[in-house]
Amino acid sequence: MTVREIGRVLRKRQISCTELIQQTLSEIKTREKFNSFITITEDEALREAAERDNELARGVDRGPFHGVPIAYKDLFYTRGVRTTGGSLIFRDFVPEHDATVVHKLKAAGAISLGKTNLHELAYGITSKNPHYGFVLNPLDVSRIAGGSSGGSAALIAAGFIPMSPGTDTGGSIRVPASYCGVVGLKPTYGRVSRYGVLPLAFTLDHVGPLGSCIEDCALAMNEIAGRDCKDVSSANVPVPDFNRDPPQNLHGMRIGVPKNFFFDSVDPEIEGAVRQSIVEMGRLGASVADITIPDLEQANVAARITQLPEVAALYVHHDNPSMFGADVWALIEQGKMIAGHEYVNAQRIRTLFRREFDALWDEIDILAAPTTPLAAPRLEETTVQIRGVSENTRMASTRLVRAINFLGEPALSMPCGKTSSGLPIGLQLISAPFTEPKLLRAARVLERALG
Amino acid sequence: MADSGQNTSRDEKNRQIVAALRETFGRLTEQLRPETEPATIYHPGLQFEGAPGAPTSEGE
Repeated sequence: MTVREIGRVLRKRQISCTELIQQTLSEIKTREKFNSFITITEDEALREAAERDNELARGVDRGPFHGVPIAYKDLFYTRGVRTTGGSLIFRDFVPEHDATVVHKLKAAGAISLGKTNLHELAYGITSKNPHYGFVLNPLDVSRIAGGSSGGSAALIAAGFIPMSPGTDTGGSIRVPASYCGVVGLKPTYGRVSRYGVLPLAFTLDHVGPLGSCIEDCALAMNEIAGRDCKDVSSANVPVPDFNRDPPQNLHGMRIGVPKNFFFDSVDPEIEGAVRQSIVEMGRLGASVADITIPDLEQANVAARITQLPEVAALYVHHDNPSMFGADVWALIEQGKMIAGHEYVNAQRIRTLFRREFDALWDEIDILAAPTTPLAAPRLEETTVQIRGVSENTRMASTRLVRAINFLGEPALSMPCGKTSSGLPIGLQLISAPFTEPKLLRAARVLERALG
Repeated sequence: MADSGQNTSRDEKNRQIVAALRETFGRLTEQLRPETEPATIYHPGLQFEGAPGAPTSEGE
């Protein structure tokens, strides 16, 4: 059920918050076989549900998330509940305060069922966590759920919860959304507070929602967006209504279809579904134009030069490789090898790309592209084949999303079809900084048309 | 000794990965000169708050 559907049955007293939470936890105990959770907070959830029931009985309604079950990626500080980051080094870390996003969603009445599994330290896209188990894709358990917000996406795809806040440093919301067939929104850099979220790379980290539909993400944005004086990267811009009713069509919307980069090396089934969605947007009234975009392959290189040392800086004092998964430790080691001048020049290149994209947004409203060049890889696949070319699974999965973190633009992934083997395909829609309402409204029009 | 050998091998692999990345990045930075823009780095957190070209409203 979606957030709105859950709210409807709760307010009609068809089920109480307590019954809903009991039922959901019971289903998770019997049906959840994907290693989605690191910690389940049953007692706390039931206590909060009883409070939400009492409030509804007294006529107190906190809004769309009142009594709605959610779960936090185990990167968000939760007061009194351990926050592992999917790592051994934080396995006993119990925060004394909530992340701003947790604080806001609690105030909105959402009920947390616990902390979701993820790629260790959010530093990877497979969620094959060596310490807390591999997160499996609920649509095909022989495949990865994607990451790093893998547990969040899996829980939504399996229908246990409608929304889960995640983080995205190089695709960690959009990749699992694409692989699990759910919606994921990476908002503009600075739109959502990162206070109380274990950092990975401070100029690339974004917090945003994963949801069962576009509206779930829009409703979540209404709760979590906004200036936070506790987060210096938080932008001081007005907070709009992210869930305004969508128009009937896409008249007046300018959709850009990249001639270069995004479709250069994509599985034919993925390309077909994405291009069909773009045709649908045209049928809905949008003007669709092929455009040449700045070379995001270059931006990806500069993004990696940025990310590697930013992460290494956090863990430079850790000298015991056995406390880390081999892949994460290797990346930390690589980060220590990047020189200062290289990092600085990557930021100069970022400025160049920002200017080029600012100019691009004069021509179009939304850039439409695939989220990932392939559907969810199998668990054992460390390399994948795309159009006959072998590619590292991590590099392939992040190839079409990483540069958007470097730029800071908002971008969402939404399901737009399935492969012949039934795996979901993700469409990525990208727009200018701080235009999430427009992005979400266009996505809702398309979602409605695609059914 | 086996561990030491493994570590050396991993270090070498990491060096190779960074060297490949550095080579591509080096070509990319050839466009950057002291006398050319951008001379200033905008932190992304400030990018949207008064930096040239930054939106001042919702930009819808």
